[in-house]
Amino acid sequence: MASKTLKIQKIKNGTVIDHLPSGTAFGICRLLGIDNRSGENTVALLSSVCSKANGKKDVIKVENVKLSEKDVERVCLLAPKATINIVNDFKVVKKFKPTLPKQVVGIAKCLDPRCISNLPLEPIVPKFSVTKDGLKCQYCDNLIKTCNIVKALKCG
Amino acid sequence: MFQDKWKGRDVLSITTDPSLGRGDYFSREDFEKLFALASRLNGTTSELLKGKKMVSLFYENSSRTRLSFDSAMKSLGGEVIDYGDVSRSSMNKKDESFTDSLLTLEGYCDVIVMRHPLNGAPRWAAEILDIPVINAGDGSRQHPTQTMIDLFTIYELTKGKIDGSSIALVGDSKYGRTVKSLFRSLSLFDNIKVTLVSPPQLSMSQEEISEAKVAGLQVETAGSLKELTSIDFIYMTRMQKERFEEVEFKKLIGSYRLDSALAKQLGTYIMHPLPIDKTNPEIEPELTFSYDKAIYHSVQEKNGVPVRMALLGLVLEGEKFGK
Repeated sequence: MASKTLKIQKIKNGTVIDHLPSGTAFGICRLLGIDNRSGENTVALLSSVCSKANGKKDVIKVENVKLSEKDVERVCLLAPKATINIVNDFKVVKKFKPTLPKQVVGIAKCLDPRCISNLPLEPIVPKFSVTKDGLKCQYCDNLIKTCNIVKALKCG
Repeated sequence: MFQDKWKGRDVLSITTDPSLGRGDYFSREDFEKLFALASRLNGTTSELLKGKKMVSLFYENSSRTRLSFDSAMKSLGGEVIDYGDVSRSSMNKKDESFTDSLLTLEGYCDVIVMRHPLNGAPRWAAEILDIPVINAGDGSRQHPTQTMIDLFTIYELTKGKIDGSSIALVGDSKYGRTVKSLFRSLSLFDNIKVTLVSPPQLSMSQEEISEAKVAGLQVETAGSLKELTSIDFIYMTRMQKERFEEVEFKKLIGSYRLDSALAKQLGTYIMHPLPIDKTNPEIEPELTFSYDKAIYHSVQEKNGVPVRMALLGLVLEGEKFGK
């Protein structure tokens, strides 16, 4: 009997972002700028695949891409339970679960248009405290609720 | 850790979160220190701040706040550099950035008192400047020195026993910065009951209410002034017409207007950060002269000078000030 499991090719070097909430992989790819328009790298997006722990999950495999510290923060804000695997020569050489930072700087924009950090042509870098309810602007105290974080990150 | 709790301190907002730093968190002890000093300085003139300079930087109109800061600084022998109308200044005309303007002014003074239409502007100023920054109102966010005056007024009228007071905050709880600041600060005291009276469009956010409840405040809401009973202080605020359609505004205004009959029936002190709307007054004008507990002009407004004297003295000279 033929196997019904779809095998996804391993990547030689790159990053695998695992345990993403189901349905978030496309958005996270866009946010990280993983569009592969050059067609040079293998990018695999698995959406709503079975997961022992969470029922369903998304996975992103991307070749020849190393996430920056800011990218890891972005992933962590949207998918706090994500696991990041660094692949080198087909082997996972590093695997970690990023922890939510207490503060994020320069990766999101305050969604209050009346916030000083949105004043054009000023050298003000938006800063947020990470709270259980979302991101709190450290200038105007505006709370960006968890459901709106992706919007704030897109603008950032 | 700062050796002196007050010297060089920014005054940015009133929060209940000590982790935010000394420019944002003022403890009960801080308020009591400020009030004791304000009581002593009330009505005095001296040379205690001789040689000190204050820049008055207002990006929005102000009369009471600006003038009372000026008066406070001059009463202590200090100098005031009034920036005037910022929109007509050469810095603005030459398209200089807000940041560069601040860095320039830092070289001319010992303290900056600023009002700005954008939320959080004083926090940015405090971040980049080494001199203390006092927030005289930012956007729809906070007006911490008005809160100090409001609390000082309650402190004096209760003979230093703010604990156990019941206060109704009436009008705009959504955009009104004085209400927000006062609401937060009240949670520093014990057994305070706050009744929020506002139309649904201008009600305080659930987050802010929950935060205050966690901090110990008893919070109730009421749909109109007529629902109030057993209140020690009514804090009225101006309802801003621009937030409503005209027809809707006219329908609402009556529910939040305090007239003589109701004021006298309640027998409470009436406070207001001022100004009162001239066209649609939220407090019946006659009350100012006919009701001795209408204290917004006679006590509260006048407290602006001694409280700001105490504050300027403390941030410029530290805890030794006035001793």
